[in-house]
Amino acid sequence: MQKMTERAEVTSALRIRNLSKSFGQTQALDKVSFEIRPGTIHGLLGGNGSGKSTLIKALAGVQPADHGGSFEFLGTTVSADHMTPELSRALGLRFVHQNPAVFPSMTVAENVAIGASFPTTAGKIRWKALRRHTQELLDRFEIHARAGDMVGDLRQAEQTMIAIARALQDADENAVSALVLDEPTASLPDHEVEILLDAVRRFAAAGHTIVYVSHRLDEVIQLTDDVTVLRDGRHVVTRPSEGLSESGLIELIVGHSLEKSYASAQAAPAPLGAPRLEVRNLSGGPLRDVSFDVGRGEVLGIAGLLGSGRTELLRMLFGDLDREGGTMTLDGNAVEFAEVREAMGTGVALVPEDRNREGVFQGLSVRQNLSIADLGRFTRAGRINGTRERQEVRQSINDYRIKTADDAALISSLSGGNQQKVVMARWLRRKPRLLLLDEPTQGVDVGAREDLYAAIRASLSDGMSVIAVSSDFDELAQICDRVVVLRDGCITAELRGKDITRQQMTHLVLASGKDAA
Amino acid sequence: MTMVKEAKHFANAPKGSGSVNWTEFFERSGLILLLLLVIVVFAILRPNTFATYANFRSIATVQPVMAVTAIALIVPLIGGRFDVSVGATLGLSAIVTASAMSHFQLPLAAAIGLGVLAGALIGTINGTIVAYLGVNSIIGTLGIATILGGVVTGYTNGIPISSGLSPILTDISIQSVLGIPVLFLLMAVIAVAVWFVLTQTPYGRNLAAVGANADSARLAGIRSKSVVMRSFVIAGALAGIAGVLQIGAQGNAGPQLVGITFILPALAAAFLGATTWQPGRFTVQGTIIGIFFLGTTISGLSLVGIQPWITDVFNGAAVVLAIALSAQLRRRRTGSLDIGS
Ligand SMILES: Nc1ncnc2c1ncn2[C@@H]1O[C@H](COP(=O)(O)OP(=O)(O)OP(=O)(O)O)[C@@H](O)[C@H]1O
Ligand SMILES: [Mg+2]
Repeated sequence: MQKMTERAEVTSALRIRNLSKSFGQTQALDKVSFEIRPGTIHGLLGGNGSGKSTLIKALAGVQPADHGGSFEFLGTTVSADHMTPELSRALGLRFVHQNPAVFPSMTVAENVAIGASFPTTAGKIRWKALRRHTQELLDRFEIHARAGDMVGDLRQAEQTMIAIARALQDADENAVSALVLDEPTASLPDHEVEILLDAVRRFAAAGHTIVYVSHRLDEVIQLTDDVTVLRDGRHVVTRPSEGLSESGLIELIVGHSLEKSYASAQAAPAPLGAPRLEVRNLSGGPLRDVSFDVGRGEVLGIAGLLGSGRTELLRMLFGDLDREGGTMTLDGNAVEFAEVREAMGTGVALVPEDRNREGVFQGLSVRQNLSIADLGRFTRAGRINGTRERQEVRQSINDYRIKTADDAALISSLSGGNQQKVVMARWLRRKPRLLLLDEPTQGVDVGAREDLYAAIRASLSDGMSVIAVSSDFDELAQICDRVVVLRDGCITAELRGKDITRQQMTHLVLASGKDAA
Repeated sequence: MTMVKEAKHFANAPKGSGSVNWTEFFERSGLILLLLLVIVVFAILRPNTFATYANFRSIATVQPVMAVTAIALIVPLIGGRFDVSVGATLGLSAIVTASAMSHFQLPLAAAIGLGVLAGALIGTINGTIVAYLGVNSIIGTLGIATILGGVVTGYTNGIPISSGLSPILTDISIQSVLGIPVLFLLMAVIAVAVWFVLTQTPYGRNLAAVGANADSARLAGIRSKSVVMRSFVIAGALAGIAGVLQIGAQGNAGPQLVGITFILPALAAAFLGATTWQPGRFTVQGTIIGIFFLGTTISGLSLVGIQPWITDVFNGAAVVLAIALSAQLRRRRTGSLDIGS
């Protein structure tokens, strides 16, 4: 990584002064000022709801900040309440927001063109040129998709990559001076994180400035030149990343030191008695002949790449995808779920991969989002007992430290990480026997992550079993008692105890069939 | 430009303000204030005709049928679907009820039962087409409405059924309890029942969830298809009830009311209602306020002596404006403004 000492004489690429933003009573940003040096990768860090996305949206002009703040961009000063998307773009700022807007029912090429412009001759789109340009872009970013693929058919991580590629496509025309990435790696697998980070480094090396938001601290320390930490909307520090340790960074973010308490390798209880779940020769979709057990109180991890069938596996166990063959036994009883409801009825729960599309109900309140999966518990004689519902929901908001104005607030007013906590809480509230987690802590900050792990652990001692899919292999290493590796729809390896390391998993996930066997 | 959903979410979020949020206050009660304003203005303009007990009584007698029709509309709307056949269903049910009494000499209760059942049956057909055959709800229910229009015209030869009807039903429009028209009271009972189902039961909650995000709903164990299906059955049954009340309101069952224009005020009221009370959401309360706003305005306009064609212009404009306004409010709530479906 190149440190920018030789550029020390150049002043800031971007200076943020006195930036404030309030939503009613919530002060999302409170007089934030800091500078970003040109040509550097600048990490923007902070807990869930600390104001990172709000700052970025103010910078992009999509949500103007309060009067009084200003941005100075290579000498041009813009007052913060006058920022518009057009101005922001004209100043050379490019953004990939937290939920990148790709158009699922359009092809990759069309999605790419919408980011810039369609090449045309006399008003007619030159499809060939567009396809060629798109394919080059896909190759440059090593995205495994074709220009003609429908974006909706691609997985979430690939969609994120496409959004990034789209924002970066005119990079070499010097039109872009700074690229702002809001949690681009939240749901990317390790291997693709590397590809993305390489691209980011190349871009920085070409002299561009990058603002990078992530909750993956190791990644931030490794990648960035400087970091800025926000806490509760206030600026805490801006400093070089050199010499920062992960625990030091956590202290800056959380405000106090934090024990990484969940040490499963030692704590792993020997699974007792008959297994909770026995899966035999499960086939369907990309899966072929998958067999495994999960014990009571055990956390089984599934390590696999995008497209390995990991999400489909969870979906099948949850009755949301049909299986073609194989059997499933839950606590000794053969089960066959025709629909999600039946799976829920026997105590299975799923936290889905794509929070926005399959998790939250935008437009409904936090309360309605939390209670939707166990309304029956509050219902007497066909009527929802509103008082009890509110009580219990408030309890969950406290227990999971969900940052919200109140339980009647719209879920869309919550920060990304807090929305994820709502979805997690929705299912943990049901006290499931078998909890299926698909990227459970995407976008959740370090502190909250420990809270969620603690909540999961508490349920484990009550006998709950967990199957966890995560692209973050450190997370798997931290929470799993056992990990199976899924490749091309088959289980190719199994790791236990001390063998569960990020390196091992990365190796096994990528290794060819022979190596892994 | 990678401008995104999340980014747009907050684009219009209210600016921070003191303890009383006036924007929110006016948003929530704007339509009520507007209704009061309309009443005051016409009362000043026409103190001897508009501001009379007789006129308010007439409004309270004429509007309940439309109010029940509008309430029927919002049930599928909450689940994200349109039922444009409620007007035709209403017409069919009125004919079924009237014909049962007039041509088959059935007692009133049985005739009413048949009328409501006919409505529920049409609702079942609509629901099946939309939920299980995947037909776009506007197109599907428009097709059904057209069929019903044809059938009703064929059966009646375009002649209203006005003889042999039970006087208990046909006189209902002149009955009142403590000065309040019975039709108005019936409407109130129906409104409370639907309000209960929509806000106090798991079914109502599930319907809102399906309307908000069908994929999330599926993964929360909600049977979206059956939820949508039932919303059409409820709408059909309510339209059936409105059909029965229509006989009471006008004293006969006419074949002419099955047209689309008949439900235009109901449609306008549903969307106007979604701009008030809980802005961005369809509510029974808002819908009723919407109906009485439209009804009062039209009554006032006609008393001021405005040409009847203005009514059509007013109703049509109200629909479009109300829908545009409520779409804006929904954008504020959910961050995205969809192109109309
Ligand atoms: N439209 C809104 N209405 C009310 N409050 C809002 C709105 N938008 C953001 N907030 C609040 O502002 C605060 C900052 O939110 P922001 O999205 O910037 O957090 P963040 O740092 O990006 O968090 P995360 O890491 O979870 O994405 C939060 O408390 C959030 O609830
Ligand atoms: Mg954020």
